[in-house]
Amino acid sequence: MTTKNPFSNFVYKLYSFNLGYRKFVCWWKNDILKKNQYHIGLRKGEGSVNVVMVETPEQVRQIAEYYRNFKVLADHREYLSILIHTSTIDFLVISTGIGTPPIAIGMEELAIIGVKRFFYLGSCKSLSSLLKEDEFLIVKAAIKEDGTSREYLPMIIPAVGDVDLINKARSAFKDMGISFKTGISLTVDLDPHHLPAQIPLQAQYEQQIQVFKEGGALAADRAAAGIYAVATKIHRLACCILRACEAESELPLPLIKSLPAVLS
Amino acid sequence: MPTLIKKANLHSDILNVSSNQIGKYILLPGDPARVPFLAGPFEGAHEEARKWTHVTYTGLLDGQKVSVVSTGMGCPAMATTLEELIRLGAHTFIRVGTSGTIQRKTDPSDLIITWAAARDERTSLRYQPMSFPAVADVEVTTALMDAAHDLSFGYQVGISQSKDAFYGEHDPLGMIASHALLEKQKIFERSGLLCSEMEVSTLFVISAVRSVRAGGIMMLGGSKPQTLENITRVCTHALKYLIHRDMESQRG
Repeated sequence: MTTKNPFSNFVYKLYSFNLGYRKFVCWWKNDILKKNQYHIGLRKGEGSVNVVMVETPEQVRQIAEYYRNFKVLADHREYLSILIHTSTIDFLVISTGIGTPPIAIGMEELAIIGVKRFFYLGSCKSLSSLLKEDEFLIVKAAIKEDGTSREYLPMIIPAVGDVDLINKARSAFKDMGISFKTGISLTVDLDPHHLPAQIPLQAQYEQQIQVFKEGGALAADRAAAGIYAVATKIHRLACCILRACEAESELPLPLIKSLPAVLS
Repeated sequence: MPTLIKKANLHSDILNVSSNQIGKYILLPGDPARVPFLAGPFEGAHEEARKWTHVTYTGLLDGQKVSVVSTGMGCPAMATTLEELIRLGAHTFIRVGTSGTIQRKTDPSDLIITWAAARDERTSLRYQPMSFPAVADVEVTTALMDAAHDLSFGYQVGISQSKDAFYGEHDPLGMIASHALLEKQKIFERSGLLCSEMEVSTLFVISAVRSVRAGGIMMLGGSKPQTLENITRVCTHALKYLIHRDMESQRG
């Protein structure tokens, strides 16, 4: 951004100087790149450029059983990480737990160890008759009603996924005959399947759901806005694929089979 | 594909045009003087209506009626024009405009395809709360990307900033709250926003609420006249791709 006034330009240049990514801020502590990361327990050089994030360690084990060529890397807190080798592509699979805070922590540390592309396989509750039970939703953008995305981005900046990854996921699902929709998901910090009937502010929640349904929100979930906000901040690509089912349920076999096509 | 409105004879007093005078696929520039140039590649392009800043040209593209309607500057004007056109039955919109750069190393001859927009304005707040994302339609954006790629033009895809004050960006030190404006611009540069314009976020939010499809493509300020010709060709090709893909999905 430049203006005609050279003094304004000078002031703007001084004002917009910034130190950049944190590894340059902490240059005297550069063992941040040699040690294991604090929460996920991986270090730079382990893992791969692609990562598939899932909700629970059981789902990680399910993926490992299908692709039998795998190697367990670490198991700390919620983060069980394995590296899978297929004939076309290698990718890291890691479990993140429920909710945006552990996902944000995981994504920050994975970015430090060198991951470039983030995929998330999660669950959501369908808000519209367009999205049927057990159908997939590829989230193109998320409504930021959770807390983590507001820490990362001001409210005016949207949480959107990467177009190329979304198109690749769509074509991979179309080739495999998996039924899906592409649309907007509402991210809230409570379990959309069970909690709304038991909280004091239930009426306010129902009213907000009606407003967002008119805007075209297809589902309510607990992860998408956080993932896209963190991806914007760390300058990496992300794509979120949600299944309209209960949380922590088993991954269906067609989805596990389609992972190499979605990732390539 | 969104459902089409079947009634054919609605008339808009604001645009001075009827629903049988416009097509379903519409390009939306801001400047009325740019409308004949954008409608040039259409077959039989002619002026249908002219009122205030709203100039309407309609023509045929591969057998389908397409229109170019100028909106004027700013989100309120875009909201008015868009609501009228949706009421008259149109379902696909592409915003074609100029914008300013935010990042330092942008090539001024690049075309910027706006996949989403930062809602730094207040018109879209009347439709959805600020947490709602202003995001384009996937098919329209893919058609624009494919057209720019097939014609070998340099392009970037990303998030733009929709602001309400032109001179807030071009002369921030002259504004009363200059410190706040400079901070905001620093935030936008750090979050990777590509360009700064004044209409796109309202277009995306209203099109989400009314279930129509929208996309946007921007030229940068300081670009040569060749870029206007490039963007016209990209828009024409993108409309052709959309028309063909819609016909295929309706058949199959």
